[in-house]
Amino acid sequence: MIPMEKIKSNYIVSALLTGFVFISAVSCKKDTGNMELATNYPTTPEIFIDAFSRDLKFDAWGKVTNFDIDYAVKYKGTASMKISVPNASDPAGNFAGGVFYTYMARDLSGYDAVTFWAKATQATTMNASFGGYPDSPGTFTAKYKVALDVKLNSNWQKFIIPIPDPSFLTNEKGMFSYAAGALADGSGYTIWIDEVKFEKLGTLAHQKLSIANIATWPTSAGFIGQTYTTDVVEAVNTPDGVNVQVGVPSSYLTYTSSDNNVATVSDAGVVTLKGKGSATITVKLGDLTATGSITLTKAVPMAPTPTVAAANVISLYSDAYPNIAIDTPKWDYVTNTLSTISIDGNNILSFSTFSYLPITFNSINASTMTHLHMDIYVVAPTSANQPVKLILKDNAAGEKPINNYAAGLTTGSWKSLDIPLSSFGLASRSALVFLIIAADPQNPKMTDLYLDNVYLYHN
Amino acid sequence: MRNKKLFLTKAALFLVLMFTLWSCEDTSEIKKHNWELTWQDEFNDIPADKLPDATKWTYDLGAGGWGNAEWQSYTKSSQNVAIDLVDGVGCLKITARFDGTTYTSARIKTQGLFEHGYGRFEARIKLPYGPGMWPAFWLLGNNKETVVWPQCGEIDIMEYKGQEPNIVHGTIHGPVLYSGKAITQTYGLQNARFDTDYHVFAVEWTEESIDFYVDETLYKRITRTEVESKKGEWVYDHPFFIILNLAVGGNFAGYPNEFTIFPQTMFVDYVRVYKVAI
Repeated sequence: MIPMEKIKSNYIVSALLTGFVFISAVSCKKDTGNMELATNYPTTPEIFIDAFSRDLKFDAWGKVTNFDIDYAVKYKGTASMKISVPNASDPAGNFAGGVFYTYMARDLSGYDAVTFWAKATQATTMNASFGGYPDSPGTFTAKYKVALDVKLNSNWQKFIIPIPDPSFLTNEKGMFSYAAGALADGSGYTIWIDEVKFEKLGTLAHQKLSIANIATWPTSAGFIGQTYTTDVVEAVNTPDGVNVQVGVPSSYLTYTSSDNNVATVSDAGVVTLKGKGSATITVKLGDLTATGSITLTKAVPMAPTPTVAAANVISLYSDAYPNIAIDTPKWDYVTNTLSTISIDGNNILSFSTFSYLPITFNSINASTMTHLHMDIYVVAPTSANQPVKLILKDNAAGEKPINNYAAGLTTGSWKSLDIPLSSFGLASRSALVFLIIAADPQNPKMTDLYLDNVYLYHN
Repeated sequence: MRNKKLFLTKAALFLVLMFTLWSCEDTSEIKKHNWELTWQDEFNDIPADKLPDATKWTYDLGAGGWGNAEWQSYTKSSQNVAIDLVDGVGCLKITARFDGTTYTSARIKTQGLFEHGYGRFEARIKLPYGPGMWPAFWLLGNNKETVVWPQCGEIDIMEYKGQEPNIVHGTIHGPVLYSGKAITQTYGLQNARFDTDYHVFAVEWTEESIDFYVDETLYKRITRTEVESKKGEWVYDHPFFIILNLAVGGNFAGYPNEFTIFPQTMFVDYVRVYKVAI
């Protein structure tokens, strides 16, 4: 239950007048005296009213001269902050940004929002935030940073950036920052910002937490070790009955997984797949909860890590070795859709509608190499003992295939192939220029597959 | 047996109260009434069809703007009007819905079933929110079929705009005093809202005045003298019936926009009517 203060109205005052009485009562009667003091840090709410509050530092971004104080245009009092957003072509910087932060941290746990009034000469969007500050030269702390894109126009409007959980802000230096760029046509404009402060509004309601990127989480197959981010957003209804939505950094949140054998989740909200099954990831922000589920009907392991010494390898595609530069051109009849899956630093080529894969490279001398290695995982269709077709081309010795190579590929598991280079029957291997891996024309042909660790080696 | 000490305390408090009132510049006196409950619906019995008690409530149905360019169509579907348990408490839910083309909601009334003049009319309500939401708890004169509005009289115990969730409006309409000339007053909460908790909205109505309350606070007294001084006519001496509705859009609250969240529900814990005990 939110304690409320009631405004008693005079019977005689008209409705219209009461509206004004109400508004002025809201904006002037701000009782911060009964807030709990969690630390010894000051609880000063002001950032910029008519001048900067004490102890404030400012760093500019973009065009560093973008900031000024305007004594003529202001929402209230005697001055406002004036931001000159430069033209997109301004050599001194093509956007206006800045951060206000304090020497000494403040305890802001008694407030529920940062509020400010702003307008601009043009309808535009400005990014505003709190909780970020330059910690030391070159480092920017954004542990509790919450940002909001606000839509400015030529009227003064009040904007509210809700604090997801004020109890974390007991030791905060990041007061306020802004960033805005030129209009779509490249022209600059002016923004005014006034009455920037932390407030205890008490009129933020209907808070709702959700995981915004839940649709990207796996519902069928996934790689063991594959990671997913958790993008948590909080919707908050502001005093005009409208929701604003802010991204909530992991520092405010706690994460749990219902089954660590299926997926684990770190303090930073990184979900890592562990095995088959279903797990619910729960995110908590104070009393608010959001959940998302992960279902792994198939848990695909990584390809085996190669063990051949690097000195004995010419690697085309592997994270275990330095690779030579390759290309995978779309030659005639190449129907592959190729993507790279990256799992914890390990990259895998993933194909669907596979026909054949040419791997081209600048001429290499593979005279001392004895074998070609590759790891293939057939995803679909279901088949067993599937062969492949391989072609190797040497500039001098020509192009030689191995048809119907008994690769023994079986859907749903990795197969490591080690093919003697002598099997190609090339007269020489001193100027190799491409390798082709093809689905052998048998029924059913492999269409979806993963490929990793393609290299030539000798023992 | 009467607790003498408590009585003395009460008497002392009363004296302080009287002194306070007398010392105020505004000398309107708040009379202490001894109320006797005469009609109520606690919405605690949840029927199988979820619909309100047909012996107490009837419906206004359909679209057409209802004279205020409102967007909703009123139905008697339990999607829009239902008695239900909410957090363990039986209540009436009036829900405004939007299916992408049509706004539906509900408006229920006691016309022909319960009509009453004077006394205290109160309801405990948690309001919806968002631009264009226009919930109301109000009374209309039961002679509205024989005399033209506003001659029948209208007492709006509570009206509210979803884009101003901390302000409610109390209003009367009558001859001359309607549209922009209605006598009206707003009441605002500081640091709180009407859509996050239940509040009691009430009028206390006599032959001389109508007092508007939110919870325990009297925020407006409209007297016969004020009505007559504004060239109006005191048309508040006959029975009125009760209306509860949630309009979507209209001249009063403006219209929903892309930021309005649907569905929205007005939760009514109870409606009670008291008369002065003799």
